[in-house]
Amino acid sequence: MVTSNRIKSVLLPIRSPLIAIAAALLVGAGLILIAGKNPLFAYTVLFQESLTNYYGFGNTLTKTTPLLLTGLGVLVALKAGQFNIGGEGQIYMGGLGSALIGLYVQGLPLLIHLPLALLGGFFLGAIWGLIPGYLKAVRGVNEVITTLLLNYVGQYFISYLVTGPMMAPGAPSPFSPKLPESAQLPTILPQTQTHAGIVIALVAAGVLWVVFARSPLGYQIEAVGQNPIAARYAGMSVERTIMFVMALAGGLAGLAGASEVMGLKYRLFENFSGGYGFDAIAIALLSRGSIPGIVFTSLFFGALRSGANVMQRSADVPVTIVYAIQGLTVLFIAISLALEGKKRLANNSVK
Amino acid sequence: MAYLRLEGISKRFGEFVANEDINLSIDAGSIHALLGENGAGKTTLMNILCGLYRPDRGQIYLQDQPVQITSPSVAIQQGIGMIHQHFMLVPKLTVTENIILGTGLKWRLNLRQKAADIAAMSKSYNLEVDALARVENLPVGAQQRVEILKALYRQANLLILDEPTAVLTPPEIESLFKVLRQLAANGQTIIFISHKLEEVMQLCNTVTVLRRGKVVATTTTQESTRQELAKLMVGREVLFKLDKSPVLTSPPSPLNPPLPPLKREVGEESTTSPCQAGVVLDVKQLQVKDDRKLPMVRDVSFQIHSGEILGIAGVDGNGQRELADAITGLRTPTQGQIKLAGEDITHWTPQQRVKHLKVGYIPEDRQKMGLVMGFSVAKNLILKVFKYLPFCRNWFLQNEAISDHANTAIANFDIRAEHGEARVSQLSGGNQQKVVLARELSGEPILIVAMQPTRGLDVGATEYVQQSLLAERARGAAILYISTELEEVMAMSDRIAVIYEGEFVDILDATTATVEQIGYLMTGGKLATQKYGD
Repeated sequence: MVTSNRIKSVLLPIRSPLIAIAAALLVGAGLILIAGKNPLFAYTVLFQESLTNYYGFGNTLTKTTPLLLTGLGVLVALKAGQFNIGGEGQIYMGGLGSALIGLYVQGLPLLIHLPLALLGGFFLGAIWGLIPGYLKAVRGVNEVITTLLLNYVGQYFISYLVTGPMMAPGAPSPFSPKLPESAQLPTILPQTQTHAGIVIALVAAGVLWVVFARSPLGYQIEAVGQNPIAARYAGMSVERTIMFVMALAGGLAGLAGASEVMGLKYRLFENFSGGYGFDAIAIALLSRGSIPGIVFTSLFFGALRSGANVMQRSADVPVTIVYAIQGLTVLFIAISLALEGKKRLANNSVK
Repeated sequence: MAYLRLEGISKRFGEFVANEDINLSIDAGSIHALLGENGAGKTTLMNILCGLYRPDRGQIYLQDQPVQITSPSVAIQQGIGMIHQHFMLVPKLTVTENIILGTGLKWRLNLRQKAADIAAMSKSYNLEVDALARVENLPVGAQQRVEILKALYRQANLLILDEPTAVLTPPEIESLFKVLRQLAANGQTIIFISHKLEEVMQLCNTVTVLRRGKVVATTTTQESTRQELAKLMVGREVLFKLDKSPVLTSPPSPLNPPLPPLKREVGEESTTSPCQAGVVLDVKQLQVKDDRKLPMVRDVSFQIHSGEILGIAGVDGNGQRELADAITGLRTPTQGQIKLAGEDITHWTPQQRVKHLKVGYIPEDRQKMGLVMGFSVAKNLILKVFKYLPFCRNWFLQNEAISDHANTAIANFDIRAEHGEARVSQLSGGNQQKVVLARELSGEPILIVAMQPTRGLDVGATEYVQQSLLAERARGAAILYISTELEEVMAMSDRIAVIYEGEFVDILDATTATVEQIGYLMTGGKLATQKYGD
């Protein structure tokens, strides 16, 4: 009885993402059939390449890193009842933060320079989250709008910097000079691009898991998120909690940007994120507030991104199918949320 | 001839009976009042009429034809127009745009022609309003005229007004009444929902009184008196007798008796003995404004002694909520002073209060304000103390201490939950309230503010809540008991303050006060003009 309950409590949070993903893959198979290709073959190639092949798996981990970190940022905000749509902008600002420290604070040993650069990324990302957090908590401005709009401010600010003041001398396209080795994240799988960013992401997930399972901070964030009025009655500062959480959310996405810059390209590129911040929203929604769930869904999305090109080459199935599958998973999770809401309503009215 | 007739209308929400077997007949061209306290079922009944709810049973007749009002648009087709208490207008649009909103789709909008039509219409009904003004720039009274015009533009013959005077100033009320009388003279039928007796007597021809979802009387304003209606509205039988020890208060002695300690020390046993008489809460000339910056509590002064229950009786929305919010720190008073055990706490934040004061607060809506519904019983029980020992040690929540605490509370307060991990959303209303009680009454509060603590509870749970509060009183807590249920206030209180439009009309001794007297006061009567015997 107790053990079966325990198994249930572990499986339950990832049950709905699993179902949604399965349903999306099924419909995706239909789409591949319509395109006149063999879905079974396509999927085999996709997942063999991205999960069982050494280089492919390395690539999957590389793609998973920014998705997981930014997804955690969205999830933390969601726990406090805030929709952080600003992951993309926070990633750019985080990339900038790490590049600034990497490039302009020179002559430090790796052990100091590297953490400092990461911190720089976290810090600028946190500011990009704190601005909407402050506006929401103190001025009552809807955070969905402010975070969304700040995405473009962040993205184009980076574009300006790398085409102007920060552009590498003689660069053929907009990017900054290369970071010194003391600010580069080490590669952890030889002969791949897989860098230590995935370790940072997993550690962040672990820390947050403990925070929400055991700490008073996590308790307060969840109380504020689920019922701000009751939280206020009970003597919590809803405003401060929201500002803190938004800064933390931005900081996590900032780390994603920092790890992209410091681990993958070693330079600040124009448009280097390419939509990780938006996929992270889907990932956070899919995982329904569960930290193990978000690790799992990030890995799935990472695998899709990593295997898509190989699937196109080997099975001749267009990459757009992968985008369709991503969209479908979100659609199915939305459907399951709507159904649950309906069920809850029905239950309540019976009570 | 009856314009509108209801036969046996019943509506339930789960086990809650909102309307039961309502029979009602309203003549064409009359102004009919629907009178009743909050929760009496007025709004449910009107929402059935305007198509928002379907009745479980019963039949509606318009001009003796049975009709099925399946949706709001059907209601409009049938000539039923509802003017809600909170206006359904788009602030950014003009009066004309608001009025034509949703009426027919044509290729050509022709706003100018329609504005002229509406201007002419407003003149003919004496509903003065500028057809081209933006609604957001209009005063409240004019916005209401726009609502009425909107209904008339849709050719409503039956106008339902839900508490229309709640937001108006006295001159605006006067002009509204003039308009309504003229509309009735033109043959419109009007249903006027209110709990203000004076207005009902002044305006209406016939009155139906609802109480607890049932029609208790239909009469004419000529044949009835305000006192009689007040009595019908609030009921008169006291449902249960409560055993209550005599008041423990004594006049404050010059030798200021010692008061319970002010600072909270979680886990520490209180050393105070019960039966200490002394002023615990001292409120002086308190003024509180609501979100719209309207004064909701005006110049209220009172004291509560240790071991005393001060009841506040009044119709809902007369400033009770704002008063409780000010005392608990959720709303800052604009004037006046609140002293707890001698210390001025008027401008303390809720955080400071929870940290340093021993105040228990039972909010009026446990699901919205008292509990985090997605949390377990155990987690809800530590909502105010989760940061302190023994629940948090070395930066971590102590699950064992939390679940022990929950088990103790479950046993002591008879919470029907299997274990502390059960979600509060799965408990019944009575057990949810017990969770709130267990949290708020732990730590021996010196002041308890209880707002509608028995709302929505069955008889057993109601009695449990009341007995717990009486036990706290016997221990020496000062209790502010706010309720719109008059019998309850009378049974529980030592003294009763009657609140009307934000002012204390009077503070009465509970042993001598009568239901009639209080019912009269809480609907706007003044003792000076009307004396009661016995």
